[in-house]
Amino acid sequence: MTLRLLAFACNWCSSAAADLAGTTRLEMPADFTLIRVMCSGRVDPVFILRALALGADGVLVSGCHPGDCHYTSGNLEARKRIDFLRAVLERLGLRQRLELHWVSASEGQRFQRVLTDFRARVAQLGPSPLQARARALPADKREAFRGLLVGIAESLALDIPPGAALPEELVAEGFGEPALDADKCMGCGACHSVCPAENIELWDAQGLRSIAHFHSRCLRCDSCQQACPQQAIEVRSRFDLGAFLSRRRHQAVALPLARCASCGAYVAPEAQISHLMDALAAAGLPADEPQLCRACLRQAHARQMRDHLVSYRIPNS
Amino acid sequence: MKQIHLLPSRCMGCEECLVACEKAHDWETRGFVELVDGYFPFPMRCQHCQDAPCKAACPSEAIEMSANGAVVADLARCIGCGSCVVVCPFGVPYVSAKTGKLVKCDLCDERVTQGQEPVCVAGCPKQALAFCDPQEPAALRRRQAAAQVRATLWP
Repeated sequence: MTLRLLAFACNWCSSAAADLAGTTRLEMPADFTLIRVMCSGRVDPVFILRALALGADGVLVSGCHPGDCHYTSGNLEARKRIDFLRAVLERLGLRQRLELHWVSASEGQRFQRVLTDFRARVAQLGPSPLQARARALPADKREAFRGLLVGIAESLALDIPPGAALPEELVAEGFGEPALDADKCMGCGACHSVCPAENIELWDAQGLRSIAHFHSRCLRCDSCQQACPQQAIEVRSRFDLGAFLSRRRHQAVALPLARCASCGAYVAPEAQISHLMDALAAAGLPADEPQLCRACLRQAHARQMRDHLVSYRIPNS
Repeated sequence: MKQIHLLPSRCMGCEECLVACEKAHDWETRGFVELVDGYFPFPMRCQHCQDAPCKAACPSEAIEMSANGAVVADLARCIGCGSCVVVCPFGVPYVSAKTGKLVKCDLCDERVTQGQEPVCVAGCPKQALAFCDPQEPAALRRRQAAAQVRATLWP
């Protein structure tokens, strides 16, 4: 049986080990495609998912032993990433098709053994259940990652319900979720304004200001946590495959809005207004709650000025 | 300290001041021209209050008084919470949908420091906006009133 196997080999160790295995004429499995990369840390989860989605039966990543990395810590980054990806692939039943191994430049025999053993394990699993299906990837890496996972889940006909999050120590950098404390939030929308991923959505409808977020877009950059004037947001590492794949947004708060006394448009959440009035009073400024929206305020001031000018008839032309 | 003064009877509502402002500030105008009863145009803009409520309300201390007497926003610190928008008694500043940051008149701080007029004043074709000391419009009105008296006495 011919398998389609892919091996990413680090330029500084495993690639040299492959050369050594070749020059010492060791017998190698013939169904491997070897890709030389400058570091195992260069191997993006998107590459691996794309290989699996295109029908690869197994993907092997091979890097330097811990402590030997040419770039100090690239192999450790690779280990974190691949542990995370293996935990994600567990839910899709593909965990055993991805492995990470350490092979140094002098270990030609070990390289041959790793490849042979991996091939034997994959041969036992059988060919990949995924049909090779090439599809265009979005330019955004996060969207590509999500799109590939969705494609794999679809072609395996898996329905993954949200609710089962990975253990926090396994979650890779950049996957998280803003936890919003509804009791502290005053609905100002600073989190929505600062979020670089446009993950936090805000809308006013039916007398309520709603704030919601998606699990799949959060980059765990902590911008919202730092911006929040009420310290109501805590961004935590989290990865829940079901929630990540679904397009459903998670609504965090819904706060009552004050309306303009003249036109009825929404002015601001009542909680924010009362908070701001306290701030103005503390600064010794008049704290009258705004009755009008911005447009009606401007109109009222212009009308006041018109009446003033008409009554005094100031000659100024 | 120089401020922008309005001579509303000269304003014809052409909104050239807003166009000049948009051109200078990333296509986001920082002022408005309000029409009262459909025919009385009145330019509304930041009044640069001395005890500015927006400055007191800003939770990230992004709003400050500049050396030119302008109330200016430090956009690097702005978090786009809209507190200033809620408390402004004139309803002029707003949070940009494009950048998520405050859009507010800064009295063209750089231009004024270089001794130039703000762009809206320079752009007004009818001189309805004047950038001058607070005493100047009063002196102008005195001269005009005197001229009227003179015209009445010696036609």
